[in-house]
Amino acid sequence: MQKNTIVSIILSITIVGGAFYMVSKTPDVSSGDTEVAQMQNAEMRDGVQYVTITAKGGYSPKLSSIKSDVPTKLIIKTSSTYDCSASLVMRSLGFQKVLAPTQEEVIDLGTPKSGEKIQGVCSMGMYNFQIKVE
Amino acid sequence: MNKITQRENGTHDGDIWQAIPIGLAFLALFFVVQKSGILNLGLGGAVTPVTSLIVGLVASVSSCLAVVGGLVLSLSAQVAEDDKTNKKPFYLFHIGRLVGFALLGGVLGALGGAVGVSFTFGAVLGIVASLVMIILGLNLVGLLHKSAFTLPSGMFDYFRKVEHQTFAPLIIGVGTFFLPCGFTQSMQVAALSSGSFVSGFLIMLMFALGTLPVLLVLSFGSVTFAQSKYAPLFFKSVGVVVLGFGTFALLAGLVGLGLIEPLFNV
Repeated sequence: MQKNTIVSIILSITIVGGAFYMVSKTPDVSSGDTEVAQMQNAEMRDGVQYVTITAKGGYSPKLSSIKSDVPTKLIIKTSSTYDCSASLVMRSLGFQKVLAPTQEEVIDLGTPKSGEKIQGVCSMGMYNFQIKVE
Repeated sequence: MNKITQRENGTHDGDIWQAIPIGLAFLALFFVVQKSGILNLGLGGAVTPVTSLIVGLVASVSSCLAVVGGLVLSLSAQVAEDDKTNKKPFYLFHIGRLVGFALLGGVLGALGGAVGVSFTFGAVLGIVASLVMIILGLNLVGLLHKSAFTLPSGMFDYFRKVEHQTFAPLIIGVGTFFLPCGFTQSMQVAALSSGSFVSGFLIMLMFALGTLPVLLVLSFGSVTFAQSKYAPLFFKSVGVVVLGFGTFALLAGLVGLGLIEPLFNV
């Protein structure tokens, strides 16, 4: 019994550790684009700042930063997205909607103030993204 | 507390040491599959009944498995543990789920954009489901009756009475329509915008059919294991899995409601 207990604990730690290792090693679905997107997913067009976030099997980039005191719009892009990331909730804006599988949803963020934080989660809560206003 | 408690207390205490690694291995596999991105297949164009069947198949192994599958697994194991010859609740559950999805899908299609799918209602229901999973998980693992704070024994007596009735499994089957699952929500919206009762009916029926194989395995698998000599080990392993799913679903549900900050990004 004692031996079983020790073996069991060692096995359990190995499994959990192994899973964490694999999860952290696995690149994100769209890692190729993500890294580029992370650098520059906000752009100015006609005096309006547009932030683009892709929703498919999670949100990418997960963390974006935008300029403050500029009228800002958030574009959520779905491409045959049927998973939870299509059903988006942004509590601070009172926004909740199940997005169409393939579309670009434009959400008005108003004129964010410096230090603000805009957070979006999917309705089940396991995917999220954050936009920081600098 | 009751007969089950005594039976579990007596023997098989050592099983838990086998059950923990088995349960954890299953949970690890689940999260690695989620993270791998293999579930993000491209399905272009409009939602047809064929698309929704495929979406259902994907959904049944996605993170929705943590909520819907976890609930089915915990309830099935609990029912099988109490009476391993009783298969009626399983048939009723699956019939309730299929018929309920089809009819509610049809209603969504007929009503069109006039109705909204309530996020908060789904999230609250998801939290209730996760609490049920955690309680049943603790019971299956065999922890509940040993701890100092036992739940009122009336709860399990009530549960035992309910599980042999006809309505409860049917209602739970229909109720899974409202459990939080991104795929279900996408399909509900597709049914809403489909424009007719028949197309909404078909989209949701095919979606439910897509999820059926995995749920059948979970429920009838529980009965098969319950009748084998591995039953005690099986129940404890299921308990570990269900505890993991329940905790995940609870934390995610609280994030979804905006009550806590996101802790993870699966």
